[in-house]
Amino acid sequence: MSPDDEEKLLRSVAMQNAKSILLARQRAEEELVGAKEALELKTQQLAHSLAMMRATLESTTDGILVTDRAGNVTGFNEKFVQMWGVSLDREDLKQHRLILNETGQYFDEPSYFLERIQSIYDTSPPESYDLLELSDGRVIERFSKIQFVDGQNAGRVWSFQDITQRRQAERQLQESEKEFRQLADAMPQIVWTAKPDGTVDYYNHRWFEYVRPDNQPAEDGDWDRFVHADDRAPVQRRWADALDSGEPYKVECRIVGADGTYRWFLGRALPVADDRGNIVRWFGTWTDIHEEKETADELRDVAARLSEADRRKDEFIAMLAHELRNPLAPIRNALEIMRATDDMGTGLRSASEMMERQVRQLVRLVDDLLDVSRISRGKINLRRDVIELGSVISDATDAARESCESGGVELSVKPAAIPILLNGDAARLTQAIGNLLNNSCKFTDKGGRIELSVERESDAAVIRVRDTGIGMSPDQIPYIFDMFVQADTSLERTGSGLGIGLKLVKNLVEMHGGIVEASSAGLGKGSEFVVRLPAINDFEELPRSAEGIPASKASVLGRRILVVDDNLDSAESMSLLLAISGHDVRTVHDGLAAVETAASFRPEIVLLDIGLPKLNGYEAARRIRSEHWGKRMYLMALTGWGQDKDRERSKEAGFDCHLVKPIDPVELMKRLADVE
Amino acid sequence: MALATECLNDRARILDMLISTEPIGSIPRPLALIDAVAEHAGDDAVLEPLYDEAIRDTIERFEATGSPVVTDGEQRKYHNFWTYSVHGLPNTAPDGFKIPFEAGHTRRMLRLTGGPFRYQRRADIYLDKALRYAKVPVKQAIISPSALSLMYPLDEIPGYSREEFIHDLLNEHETEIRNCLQKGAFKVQVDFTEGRLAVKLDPSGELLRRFIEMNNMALSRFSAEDRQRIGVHTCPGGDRDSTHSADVDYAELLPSLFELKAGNFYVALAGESDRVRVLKIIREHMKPDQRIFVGVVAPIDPRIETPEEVRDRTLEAAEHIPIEQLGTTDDCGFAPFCDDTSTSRDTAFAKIQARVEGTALASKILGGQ
Repeated sequence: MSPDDEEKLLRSVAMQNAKSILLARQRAEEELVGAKEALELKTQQLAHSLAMMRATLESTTDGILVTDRAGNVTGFNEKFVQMWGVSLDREDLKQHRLILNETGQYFDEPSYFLERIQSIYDTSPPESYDLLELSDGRVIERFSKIQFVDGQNAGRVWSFQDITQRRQAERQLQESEKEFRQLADAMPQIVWTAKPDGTVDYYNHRWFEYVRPDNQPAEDGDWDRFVHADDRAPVQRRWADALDSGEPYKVECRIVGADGTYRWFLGRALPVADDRGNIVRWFGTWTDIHEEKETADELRDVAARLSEADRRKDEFIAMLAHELRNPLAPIRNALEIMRATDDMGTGLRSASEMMERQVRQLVRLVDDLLDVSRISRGKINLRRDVIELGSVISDATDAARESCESGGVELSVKPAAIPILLNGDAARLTQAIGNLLNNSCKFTDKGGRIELSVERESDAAVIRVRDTGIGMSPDQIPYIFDMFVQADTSLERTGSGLGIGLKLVKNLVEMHGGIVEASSAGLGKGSEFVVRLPAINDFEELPRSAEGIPASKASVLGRRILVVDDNLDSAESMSLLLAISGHDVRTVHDGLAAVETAASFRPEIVLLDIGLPKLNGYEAARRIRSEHWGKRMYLMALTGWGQDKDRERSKEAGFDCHLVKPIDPVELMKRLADVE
Repeated sequence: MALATECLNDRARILDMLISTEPIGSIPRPLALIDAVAEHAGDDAVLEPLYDEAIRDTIERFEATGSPVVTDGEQRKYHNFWTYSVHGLPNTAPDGFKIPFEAGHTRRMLRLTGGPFRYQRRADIYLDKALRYAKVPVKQAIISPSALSLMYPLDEIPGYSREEFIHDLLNEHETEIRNCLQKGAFKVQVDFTEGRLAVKLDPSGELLRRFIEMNNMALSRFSAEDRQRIGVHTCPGGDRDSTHSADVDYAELLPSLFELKAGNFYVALAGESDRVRVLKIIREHMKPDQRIFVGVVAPIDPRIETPEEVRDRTLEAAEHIPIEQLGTTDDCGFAPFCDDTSTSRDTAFAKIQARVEGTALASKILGGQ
């Protein structure tokens, strides 16, 4: 090979190498860049870690000091410097010995403090703990631990925590606990506390006195075995529910005492929560309610018996009213027949009129009795409408006027200056005002005076009934509206009634949203009753009711009427009354006969009693209505049962109207005349 | 520890001189050794006593010159400064490329035949022995990785890429430097004679830049402190009083040379025809942390320089290079190849003595003494 060839070869080799070197350099640069980036990343991570570690050190509430095995300080946080008031410059802070010399001033016996540190350095225990009580009153927990770096003992980390406040709080808590126990022991109740999991951790002496006379503590958590076996399950369940929900615990149960007898206790427990709402304790009591429990049971029995008696009373009154009505009906019919008889002598007519008055009084008494009974049982519903108070007053005074006149009492009425409208039941309000007037009439002697006045005061209609009667003593007034109360029950005052009239007044007025008050200047000085009812303001805008009661249609004679009543007197008197009035009348006394006679007689109107033998009135009505010939018959229920449910029942059975005995003959005639 | 202390003391003594002076390395072998080596393989055990004696004598005579830093004269390097580390490798062949010298002769390098590439020996083994005899700091020269890179053949070796070779070569080179530093070498000098050769082979400068990069890849693995104990030597080659690349202009080499991440540069200057021009180039491209040892004696010149000549050359250099960054040295080793007898040992030491004395003279002048 020539020298030139040799040089060419050398150049070729060198240039080939140059390419490889370039690649190697580029790769090295890439690796360098990668290494640099990795280094930068690690540097950043390290810086971050250091910053985090520093921040952690500074954020802790503990003072931290780190020393190496030779006692050189390798780290500390500002809390440490503040805690110990270290005034050394940073250079001196590098030696634990110098720091100890300065911090030793906080101790009454610095030598002990320093010896203890030296001991830790000498023996190098894995961990150390000391409670440092400083002369300035602070209490500091010192904890140290060997710091291992790469498995080697690199020194020790010392942490210092100022627990002065905690210690004070613990002492206060201990004092508080002591006071609580003293207080609890002084209480007559059984007092206990429990941990958040429900484990009872304290009982006062009362518990041990009750369950263990020898005052030996019961084992924690076994309290429920003293509970009566029948009560134990619900007691435990409620306690578990309270623990789950954190809601207060309340239970009644029987707990056996040391003598083996069970007494009733009321158990209560309230959760005690910390500032964050976490339950830290339960505070509970067992209160002996044995006597109260027994008394309550007795009272409950008494109340039940009274309630039963009251219910029976109401039923008795209702039955009584019904039974009283039945005989009144034929009497009233008979009186009406007698009145229609032209050839009655003067004496007989006078007797007849007297009987009529007494019958009406008797009917009114029975009605009152029945109404009070119904009100007390909540059986009355008002049939409200817009009414004019003047007509109510007029109806009431008309009804009372006869009694007043017969009693020799003057009745004067002072109507309102302008009409007053009410939203009420005209019949019931008439009844109430009438009762007030009758009351005054009863207790006002002959020659006395009753004044009724009506006026509007703001939004109220005010009705005053003032009399010159026997008056009331102050101690009578509060009870004057009670049931069966009489102002004067002497035998001489035979017209005293049952003592239910005023009670009925009060009930009816209150049902209308009003009030009634009674007053008197004293016995013998008369009485005044004032009724206040809510009035309607915009009466001008309301439709005015028709004036007076519409005239009844003219009597229609020649009706075919079937009278059905098992009371023979009642049936016969009614039949006679209707026959005298010109009607074609048939009479039967049981339900089956009623249906049969209706089929053959084909009456236009059937007066059908409800309580009938063989077939009651309801069933008889249904059978009549089920026949083609009975569809258009006018069925009138004629019964002593006048309650709403009775009316509904008769309507369901097919009756067209429901009349309560005793029937006022005039009212009956109006009804008959109204039948199409 | 004792060695380190001694080194520090020696360094202190050297620092007494205002201007540092260090040898390049090789000293002609004793003729008996040359003859024996010619008869036996370089590693033959029979040569060991001769090697030892040559080393001991070289160091003794080195120290006798007053040189504050000595070498073992590379008495043990076989066969030369270039191939000592790879000689005898089983994965080489002797038919590597030839380096032509101006005198007409060539030196053939080894050719790598397979991987992986590992040094057969490292220069720190020479250092071990030298330190045994030396009373002054010992400097150790080693071959550059760029020079050894020329062992890889033109064609790719199957199963062992050129990149893998470069990687292995750098690792071996790094290890050699570390070993020498660790054992107490006062300086580790990387012989980079192929720098000018690279310019000669590739006038575009691309090859030189790649060589610089390769050496820097190795130097980058050392700390700045280590690099202050590492130097780079460049010369046009000196063998049998002849060069292989003296015709390459320093202006094409030096700007790139100072990019090397080394703390010391040993630049042949005495043999240059226009030294001032070269000094200006040096001044222009040197960096603040670099010390420049300029050649003040020329091994290829059979004439022995006088101390005054050396003094003057030193003063001349001091006019361009700050004194604190200036040092003196030989232009080249006196016998980079073991069989070179063109220069006698006496001449070599005489030249060295002239360098030392001349540098001292210049120091006195510059120091105002």
